[in-house]
Amino acid sequence: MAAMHRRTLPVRIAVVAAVIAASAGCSGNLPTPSASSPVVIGGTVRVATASEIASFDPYSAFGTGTARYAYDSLINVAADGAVVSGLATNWQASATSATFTLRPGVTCSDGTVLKASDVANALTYASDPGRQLAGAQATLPSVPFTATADDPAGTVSVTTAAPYSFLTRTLGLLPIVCPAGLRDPKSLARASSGTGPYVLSGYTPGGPYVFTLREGYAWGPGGATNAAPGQPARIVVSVVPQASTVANLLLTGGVNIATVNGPDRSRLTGRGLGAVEVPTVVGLTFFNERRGRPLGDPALRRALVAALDRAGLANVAAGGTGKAATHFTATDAVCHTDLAAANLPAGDAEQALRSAGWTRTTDGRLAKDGRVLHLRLITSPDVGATLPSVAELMARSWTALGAQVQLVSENLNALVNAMYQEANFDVVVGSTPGFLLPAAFVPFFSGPSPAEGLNFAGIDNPEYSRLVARALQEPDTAGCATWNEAATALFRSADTLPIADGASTVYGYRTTFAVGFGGAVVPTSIRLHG
Amino acid sequence: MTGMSDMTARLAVLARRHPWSTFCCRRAVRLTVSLCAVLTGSFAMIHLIPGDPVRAALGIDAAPGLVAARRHQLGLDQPLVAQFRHYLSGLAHGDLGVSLVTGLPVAELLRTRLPATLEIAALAFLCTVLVAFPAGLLAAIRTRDGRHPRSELVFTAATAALTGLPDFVLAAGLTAGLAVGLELFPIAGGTGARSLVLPVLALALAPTAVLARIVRVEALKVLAEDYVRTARAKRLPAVVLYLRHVAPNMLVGSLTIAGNLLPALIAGTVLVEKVFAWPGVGSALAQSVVAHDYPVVQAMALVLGTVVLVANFLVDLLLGLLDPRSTIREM
Amino acid sequence: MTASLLPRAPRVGSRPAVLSPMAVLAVAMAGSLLFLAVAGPVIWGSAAERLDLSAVLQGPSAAHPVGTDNLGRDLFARVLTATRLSLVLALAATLLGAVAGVVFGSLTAVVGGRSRRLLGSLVNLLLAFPGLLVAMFFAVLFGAGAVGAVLALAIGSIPGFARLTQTLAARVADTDFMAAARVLGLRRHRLLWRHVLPNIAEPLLLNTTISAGSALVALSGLSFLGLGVQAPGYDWGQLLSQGLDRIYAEPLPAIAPGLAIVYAALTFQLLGEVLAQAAARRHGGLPRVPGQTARPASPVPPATDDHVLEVEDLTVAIATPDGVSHPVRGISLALRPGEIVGLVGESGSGKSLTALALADLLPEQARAAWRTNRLLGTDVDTMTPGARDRQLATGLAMVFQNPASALNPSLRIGTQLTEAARTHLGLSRSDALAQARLTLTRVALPSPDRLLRSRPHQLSGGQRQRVMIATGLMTRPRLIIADEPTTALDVRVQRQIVELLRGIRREAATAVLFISHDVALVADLCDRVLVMYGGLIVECLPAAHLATDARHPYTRALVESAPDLSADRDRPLRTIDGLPPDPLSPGPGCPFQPRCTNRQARCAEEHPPLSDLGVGHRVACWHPMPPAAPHIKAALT
Repeated sequence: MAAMHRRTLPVRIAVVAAVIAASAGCSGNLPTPSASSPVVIGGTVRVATASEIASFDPYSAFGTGTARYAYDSLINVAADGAVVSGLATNWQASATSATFTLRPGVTCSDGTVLKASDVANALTYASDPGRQLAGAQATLPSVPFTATADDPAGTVSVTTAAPYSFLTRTLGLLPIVCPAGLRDPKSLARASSGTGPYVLSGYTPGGPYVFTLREGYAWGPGGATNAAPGQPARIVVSVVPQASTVANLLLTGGVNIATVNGPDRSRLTGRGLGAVEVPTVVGLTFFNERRGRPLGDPALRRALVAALDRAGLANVAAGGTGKAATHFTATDAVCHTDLAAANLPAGDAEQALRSAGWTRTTDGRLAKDGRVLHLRLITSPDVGATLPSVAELMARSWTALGAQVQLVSENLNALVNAMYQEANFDVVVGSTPGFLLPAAFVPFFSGPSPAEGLNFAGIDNPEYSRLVARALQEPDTAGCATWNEAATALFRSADTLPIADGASTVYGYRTTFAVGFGGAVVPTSIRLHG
Repeated sequence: MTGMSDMTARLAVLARRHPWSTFCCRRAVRLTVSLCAVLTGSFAMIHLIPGDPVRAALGIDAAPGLVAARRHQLGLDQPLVAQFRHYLSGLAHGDLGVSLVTGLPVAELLRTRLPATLEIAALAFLCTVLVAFPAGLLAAIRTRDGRHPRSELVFTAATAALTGLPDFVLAAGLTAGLAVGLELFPIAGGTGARSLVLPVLALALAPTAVLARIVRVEALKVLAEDYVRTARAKRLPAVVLYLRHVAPNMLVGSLTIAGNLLPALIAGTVLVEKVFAWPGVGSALAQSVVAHDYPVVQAMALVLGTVVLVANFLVDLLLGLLDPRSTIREM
Repeated sequence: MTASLLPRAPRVGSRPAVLSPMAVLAVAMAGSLLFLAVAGPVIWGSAAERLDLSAVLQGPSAAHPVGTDNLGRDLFARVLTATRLSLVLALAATLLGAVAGVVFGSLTAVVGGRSRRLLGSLVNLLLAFPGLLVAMFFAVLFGAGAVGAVLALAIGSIPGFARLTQTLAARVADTDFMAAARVLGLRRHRLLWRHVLPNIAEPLLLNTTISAGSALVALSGLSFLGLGVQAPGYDWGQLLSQGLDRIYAEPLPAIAPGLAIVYAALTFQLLGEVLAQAAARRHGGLPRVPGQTARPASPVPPATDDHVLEVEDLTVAIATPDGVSHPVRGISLALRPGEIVGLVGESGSGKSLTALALADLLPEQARAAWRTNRLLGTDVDTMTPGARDRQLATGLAMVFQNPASALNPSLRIGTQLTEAARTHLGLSRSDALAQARLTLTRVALPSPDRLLRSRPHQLSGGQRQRVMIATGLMTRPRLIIADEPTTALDVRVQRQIVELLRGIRREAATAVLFISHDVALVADLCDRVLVMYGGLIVECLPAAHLATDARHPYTRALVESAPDLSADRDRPLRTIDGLPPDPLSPGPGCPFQPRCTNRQARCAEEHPPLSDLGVGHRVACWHPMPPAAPHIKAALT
């Protein structure tokens, strides 16, 4: 039960992760024991989701997770990270412009043909700041752009107002809503208006939600079609909030596809289920560097990070044998590489503290200039079940150094207030939004503090900001080196501390499928076996 | 003054003449007053929460513009009195506000989910009453006058243990044993009659234990009454003795308590629905409490409070019918 | 309740403590909890804090019988160590809630009508909200943590306590004594402390104990929602909710703290039950009285057909916590058809138990034995239980003392009147109703049709007793045992009932055993009188001789204490000094000798037998009084 509670991530974060997941391509294939058994023609596949889907509008915060069933994007990202075709067969991009050439003969679910101008309209609509479309904003580039179309040529052109690295992987991954849907956006909540392989045909508030297969679909990732034997005729999405209930349903065949993380995974192995591991980062830690806070002192920050047993923290974060985090992005994110171990501060923390002017008082407390070090360490089980334990272990290490640590494990409300309103924390052990692109992290590590921006920790790392400005000028993965230099700057000054590289697992019961970034199932890859 | 006392006198006459309808009227007035209080309380709730509920609900990284827009959409930037007026007029039109998280109307959420909750709550209540009454009565008959002290110990211990078992633990245990282990019942979801068994069981067991104990105590009281001795002197068959002479007299006391168990039972749905992925308001309430979706919490509190009040009102009327003396005592 | 059926047992110093199995269990469980709460942190505290980051979230093993937690700490040690904090929090929440609720609720007892109603509805309203939801709401408000959870739970439990206090205090408030106190202008808080609280303390204590158990469970609910005790502190609720995360993979880490919660909750509930029993003076586990005591081997005398009831050597034994008591010690009586026999004696003399024994209605702890027991000429011992029931149901009618409580309040008179006849005589509903109408007319109740439809609370006391008699008459019994049938009625109605019994005797030759402590009434109504004292019949004489010719000192004392019989109005009425004998340990001599003004040496040593004094007059006394006390004789002439 508690597992479920704690898995209820802050809605936005969960949503953002889902957006990214949905917009990436196939990145893994599922070898399952049942894959060799004969496929079921025209069957029904049941999928479990953790929370209610209030709206299937792919641009809203909720609809993005399931958008792949009913909507296509211009391009897709394959398992190896390569960009493959979607609605577009050709694409090219610089840091300030991108052009996509549409595949001819693409039709919407209502039978109308999708034109280039329809795609441009969808891009313009989704990026309209007045509409506050949270789901679309999380996918699109953070710079303003204009989209134009040439219908006869079937091309869509986008020009941005400022340089942005990943135009293909942002613009290209937006689900495209057909003109009928844009004319009546309210209808999108409970019906689909897209070009995707399935059509939303049944909506019950609180679930289940039913998708049915379209005929004559041939513009899936890399040209995938709907004609493959074993592809289910119906996909039924049910809301199952609790992780252990999901696990029970998988074991008894109550659902075919579901994502499980946490301790329940141990009883799902060896039970004949197919499984794909989806990388995550557990416990992204921030230090309050705002004026008047002790951790504005980089030397102190570095010493505190150096004092931590990162391997032990990783074990605790993973709830078993964990692997210390390599980066603040997941291992399958764009530009990911192992930076943390080499660049995070290490060495003798006591020594570092002494050289920074910190001494022990007679009763063993750490003090500088007569001021004793008090740290308010906050976390919430709502953003990760193991995080309170991680925080508890951190507190122990720092208490051993002589710091006075106040450990606060609160509900999400209090956590968010402490972070965004009162700024009343010194260390926050939170979750990572799990963005696909390094550019998505920029507002958290730089820029204005709330309420104008998202830089709640008050990070001011000039090196990072300089490198980000340069990286944004370099198109797509060409900028990875610069992006990683920027991240290195953050690690070196101990502005952020990721705890563990973890994983959640997508399980299949008598079902094979491919998953994209963040564990999103690729609809055209699903096969139901007998 | 004279008019006032005149009216009081006239009312008194009326009350003597129609005790039953006067009783109903009194209870209806009380219900109305209580409903008004629930209404005000549920409105006040959102303003008692420290911090910014909108920011909390929308999440850590919500854009500042979105937060302001949602605050405006909810009318939270208006003066309190205007907000209350707006709240009331909204209620009158069946508008319970929109969810902070989903932006969907709360009224619709209730319309689609309340029946599922009432279904298991009503069934659980029914099971509670149907099981607890005979169980408590049988236990009382077996242990009256200090007979079978060992049976009494077993009964007390068993009911106390069931009462002490948190219902979410019970729910998990039932699932492990009956659904995962023996595969007798579906694990989760509202599909067909068989899927009702486990949630209703998890919900009803603890209240049943509580009620059975109370019924036993009530029945022991009745069994010691003179009129039961009179009935015994008539040498009636045991069934007639207990069902005709004992049961109706312990009904009033026990039903009062059973009515008081109703709020606990409704609260139980919050936890139990979640374990069984039951699509009711309970699971929605748990989610919205965790997500700090206050308009939903507010509306749920209003509706659940109303359900409980109305149910208690009906129980009161039923008791009035069963035991005419209580209506007279009220006078 | 049960006790009212039994003779009031005299208090014998301090009773030795007899613990029921439940009390023993509850005390043992409470003791174990207390031990863990005190010693747990000392013994297991350090093991509970020891980290092992290489053994995180492990299942049960030899080193860790319940497994390890998120930081590799031993869960067994943590569960045991957590006992202290868990219990302290639960008790703190309960006590806070109880104190606030009691103050709130008892206010209603001391304030006036309008504010009382207002407070009452406020409590009712608060009760309508699920306590857990209220607690959840306040826990969010106060912030997560032990203090917030305790306060939230305390607030959640206030309405329940307030309601209970209100109900209990209302009873106190309505007493004359409180009205007087209010008139005297006693200050409110003084009223509260001095008069209200002491009177309701016992049930409140009971409820507090039970609530502590519920608080423990509710705390686990809050912990489960993340609103309970925060790390590095830990209680059972927190351990349970951590365990629940992996209950299917590894059940023991959830089961262990779960069991601890259930165990503690069970302890509190059992303690509450034991307290309740002590409060209600219900004693579980009474010693059993062995079945029917062995009968003397003397041959059963041949049946005498002219008796409707013939009992010899009837004894009643009752199990009490202090041993077996013998309130009826071997009495014999016989009734002929149409005869009215009075059975008189003080309360506690065993007359009511005699009646119950004859009707086979003794309470569970009591056992009757006899040498002969013939009802309507048939030996009871030769009958099957079913036949005996039928015989008792149709041949014998019982009329009890208090018609207000002897009629079932929720059944219509018609049902209560006809059910025995329908069950035992096989009458149809309409036949039974027709007969009921006739019978009601016979007992002089007008408009029988309306009466049959009404319920007992709509009738007057006299009407109810007539209904009771009519109920008995429905099966055309040959014997009526009337146990103090007029005691609860006013004098005018008393006369009417007596007349009614006379009439019945005249019309149907029904025999009546009339039990009363009212000597005058008995003398007036009956043919013969049996005087009972200390479980024995001490004198048996024609009713006409009662006033003038009683020979037993006790009978004489009874007569002299009766205003209608002792005609010397100028003399103060005599009362009998001393108490009736203790049925637990009767002495060897005459039971009346400690109180007897005439006693001599032999009286204390030997028990006097009933011996004939003349026609129809027997007395059990070594030194009977001389016939005809002069002042009475004088009054009668």
